[in-house]
Amino acid sequence: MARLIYAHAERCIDCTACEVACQRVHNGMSNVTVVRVEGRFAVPLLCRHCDPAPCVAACYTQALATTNGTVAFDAARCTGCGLCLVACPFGVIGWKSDGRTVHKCDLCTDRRAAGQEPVCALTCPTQALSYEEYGDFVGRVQRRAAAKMLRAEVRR
Amino acid sequence: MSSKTFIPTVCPYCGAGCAFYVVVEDGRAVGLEYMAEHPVSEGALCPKGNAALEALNHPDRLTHPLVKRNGRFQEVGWEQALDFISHRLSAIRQSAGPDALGFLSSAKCSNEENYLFQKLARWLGTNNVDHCARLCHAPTVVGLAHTLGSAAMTNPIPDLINADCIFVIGSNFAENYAPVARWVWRARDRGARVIVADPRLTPTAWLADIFLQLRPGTDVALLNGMMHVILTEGLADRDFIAQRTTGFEALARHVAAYPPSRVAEITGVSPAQIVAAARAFASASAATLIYCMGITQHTTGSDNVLACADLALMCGQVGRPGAGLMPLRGQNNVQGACDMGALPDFLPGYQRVSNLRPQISNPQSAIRNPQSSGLTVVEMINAAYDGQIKAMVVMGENPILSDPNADHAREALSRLDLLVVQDIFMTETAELADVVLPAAAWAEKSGSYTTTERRVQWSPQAVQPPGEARADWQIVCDVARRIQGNLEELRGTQGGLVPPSSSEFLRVPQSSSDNPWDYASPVDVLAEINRTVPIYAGITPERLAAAPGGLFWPCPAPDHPGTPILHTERFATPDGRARLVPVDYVAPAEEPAGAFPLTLTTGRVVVHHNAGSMTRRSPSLLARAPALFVEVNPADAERLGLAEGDAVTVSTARGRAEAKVRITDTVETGVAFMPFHFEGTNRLTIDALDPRAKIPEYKVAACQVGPAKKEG
Repeated sequence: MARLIYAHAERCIDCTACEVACQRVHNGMSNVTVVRVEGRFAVPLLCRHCDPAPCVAACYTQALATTNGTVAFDAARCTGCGLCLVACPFGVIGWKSDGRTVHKCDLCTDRRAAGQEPVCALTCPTQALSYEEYGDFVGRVQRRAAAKMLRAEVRR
Repeated sequence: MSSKTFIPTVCPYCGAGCAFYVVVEDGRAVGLEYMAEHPVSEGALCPKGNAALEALNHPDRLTHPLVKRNGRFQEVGWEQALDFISHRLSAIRQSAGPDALGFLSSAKCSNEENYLFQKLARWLGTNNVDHCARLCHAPTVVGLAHTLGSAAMTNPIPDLINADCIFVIGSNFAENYAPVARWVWRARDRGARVIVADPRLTPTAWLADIFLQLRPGTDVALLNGMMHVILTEGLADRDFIAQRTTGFEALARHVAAYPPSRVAEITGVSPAQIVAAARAFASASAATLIYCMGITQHTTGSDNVLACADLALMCGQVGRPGAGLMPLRGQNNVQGACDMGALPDFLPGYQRVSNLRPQISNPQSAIRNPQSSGLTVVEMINAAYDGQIKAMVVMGENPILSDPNADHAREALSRLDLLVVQDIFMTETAELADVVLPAAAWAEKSGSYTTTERRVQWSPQAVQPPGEARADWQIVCDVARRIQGNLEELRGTQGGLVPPSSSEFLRVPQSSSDNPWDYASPVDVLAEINRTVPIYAGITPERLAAAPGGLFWPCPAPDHPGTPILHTERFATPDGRARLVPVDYVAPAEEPAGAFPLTLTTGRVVVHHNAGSMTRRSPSLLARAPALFVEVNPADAERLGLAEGDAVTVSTARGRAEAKVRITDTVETGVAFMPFHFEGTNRLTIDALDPRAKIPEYKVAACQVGPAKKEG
C-alpha cells in the first residue's frame, strides 16, 4: 500500500511550517493549508488522494488520474476549467498564480524520486503530519487511544 | 555540472537550537535540507527556519560600509570607515571618559563575537555593555542566580519526555519555540498532564489539560495560591525541602495569606482550577515548569521568577530527569551572549565585575579595570538622552523597534555624537547611525552558539558574505587594532586605556609579543574562551567539531562529558542549598482607568521574530502576517463599535499606533493584545522597570482602542 500524508489534527499548533516548506519546494505555491477554527483548533488540509476521487471524476482531460494509489496531476493536460476545484470536498486544489492551471499535492514527487520524504511531514514540529502507510498510522492512533484508556483506569 | 554540498548550520532564529543543512551550489546557498539526526528538532523546522534563506539571500543585504555625510549615507571603503570610527571613539573617550561609551551586543551573534565585543568595551575601560537579554530574561538572571545559583535552564528540551506534568506559565512556545511543542506532545503521549497559564488562549494553551486564563500581571498571586493549596493539602516534598533548601518556614507563613478564594479575585482564575493545577503539579512524580516572557517582562519580573522557583522547589521538582525549571530563551545565542559576559555586571563566565582585582602578576602596569557595573540597555538609552553617553556601538540590535517607549529611544540615539551600527540590513536604528558596517549573516561565518538548554553547537561557514560584508568578529578586531594605533596617545588619560595584556579576566597573552586582537579565525577565539571561561573550558573547537548534538555547559575540562541536567546533587549556591524566597503580589505599574480602560499586553506571532528585520523581509513569512493588528474581545469590540478588520488607533499615555482589529474571544474582556514585530507597538509600551532586573513592563500597559484617527 502506498505511503500517504496523514494529519493528526489535535497535534496541530497552526505554525504553518508545512505551508512555508511546501511552497519552498513547489515554486512558491503551497499545496497544504492550515485552517484555524474558533481560535481553539487548527487542521492542516491537503490532498487525501481519494479513490475514487471526485476531482479525477470531474477532470475531462485526464490531467488528474489515480496512479499507484495517489491522485497525480499532469499540468500539460490541464485546460484550467476549474471543475476539479469545485469537485474537491476538502478545497485543497488551488489556482496557480498565472490563473491558467491548477496545483495540488504531488507528495513531493521529486524528493521521493531522490529517496527523500515529503517536506510537510518532515518539517512539522509536532508531528501533526506523518508520511506513512495506512496500517502504521492507524496502529499508532490505536495504541495511543488504548494507552489513554489505561491511564484513565489507573487514575480512577 | 556543478555539485551540491550540504553544510550543517544552526538555525538563526530562536534559542531552541534546531539545525539544518544549507545546500550550497557554485558558492551560493540554493536550498535547505532537514537534519533528521538532530537531537532536538529531529528534522523539524518552524516556518521561520524554513524561510531562513529568504533573509540570507535578500537583495536588501548591506554590502558596503556607509558613512553619513550631510544627512545621507555614502559608500566608503573599509579603511576609511574603520579610521573614522577608531578616531571618533578614541576622541570621545579622551574628552568625555570611557563611560561616555556604550556598547549593545547581540544575542544573534556567536559566542566568539560576543566575547570579543565585551572585551572591546572593557578594554576601552567601560562596563557599559549589554544586549537584548535585558529585555527578555534579566529577571531570570536575578531570580534564579539567587535561588538556584545558576540562571540557566536546568534540563534539556528532549528531557520533557520524562515529565508527568508540565506547567507552562507565560510562555507561548507553540508559536515561539515550536520544537518544544514536539516534546510536550511526546510527554502527553506518555500520559503527562499539561497546565497552561496565560492571559490569552494561545496555540500553546491548545495543549493544556488545565488552562488558567489569568489577568495580565497577576502571576505571583496565582503561584502563591498554588503553593497555598500544596501546603494545605500536604503535597509539598518535605524531604527535599529539609535536605536541599533554606527559607521554607518564612515562605510557608507567607503563602498562608493566599487562599484560593483571594487569589481567584486577583487573577480571575476560579478556586477549583487553582486547586486542580496545584494538585496536578505537586502530585506528579516528575514535573517541569516552563516559563518565558509572560513571567519576566513585568515590573515584578524578578518576583515572578522567584515564585516559579519557589513552587518547583517546594515540590522537589528540580534536579532530576523530567523535573526542572525551563526559562525558554528567545534568541539563537542569548544564553551564549550572557555566558560571554555581554552584560554590564558580569564578565565572561558570570564573574561579577565587582570581584575583579587589579592584576597582581603585572603590578607595574598602571591599569584600571572598571569594577562598578555599567549601564543596562534602557539605562544606556536614557543616558544617551541625557547626554552622558556620547557614543554607541550597536552590533546587530534594533533598539528603536525593540525598546519600550520607542519615540524616546529614537530621540536618545539621535542625540549621540557617534552611533556605529553593524548589521546585515538597514534597520530603523541603522538609519540613525553615523556609520553603518555591513555584517556577515550566520551562514557566512563560523562560530559556536549556545541554545536555551546550555547546549553549545558549532555552526560552520557555508557561503561567503555578500559584497564587502565582514563577520562581526572581524569588525570588532579591526576596530580594536585601529585603536591600538592610538594607544600611546591615550595611555594615561582619564581612566587609562586598559593595556590588553593586563586585563585579569582575559589572562591571555602567552608572551609580550602576543597581540590580543590578532585572531586567525573564530576557532582561535573559542580557544581563548576555553582558557578564560571555566564553564566552557572543555568545550573545545575539536570536540564541538566531532559532536553534532553539541556539549552542555558546565563542561570544566576537555574530558568532562558536559552537564545536561543541573543541580542533581547540590545547587550552585555557596552552601549548596536552594533559597526559598517569599514574594508578594504587587499590581503592575499601570492599571486600566479613565481614558485608557483596557489592559494592553504584547507578544509574538509564529511567523515573525522579534524586531522583524529578518522575518519582515521574508516574503513567505510576511504574507502570513503582513501588518500590525490588535486583538480585542467581541464584547469590547461591540462596546467600542468596532468590526473585524477595521483600522483602529491604539493609544496609551506614551503614544499612538495604527493597527487592524481582530475580534476574538481568545482574549478576555478588558484585554487587548498586539505583537511587537512591527513599528508601533513599542510606542505604546511603558518603560517602567523591574527595580532589580531593569526589564521594562512590556506585558502590561493601560490603553484605549478606537476607530483610526488621522495624524494632526
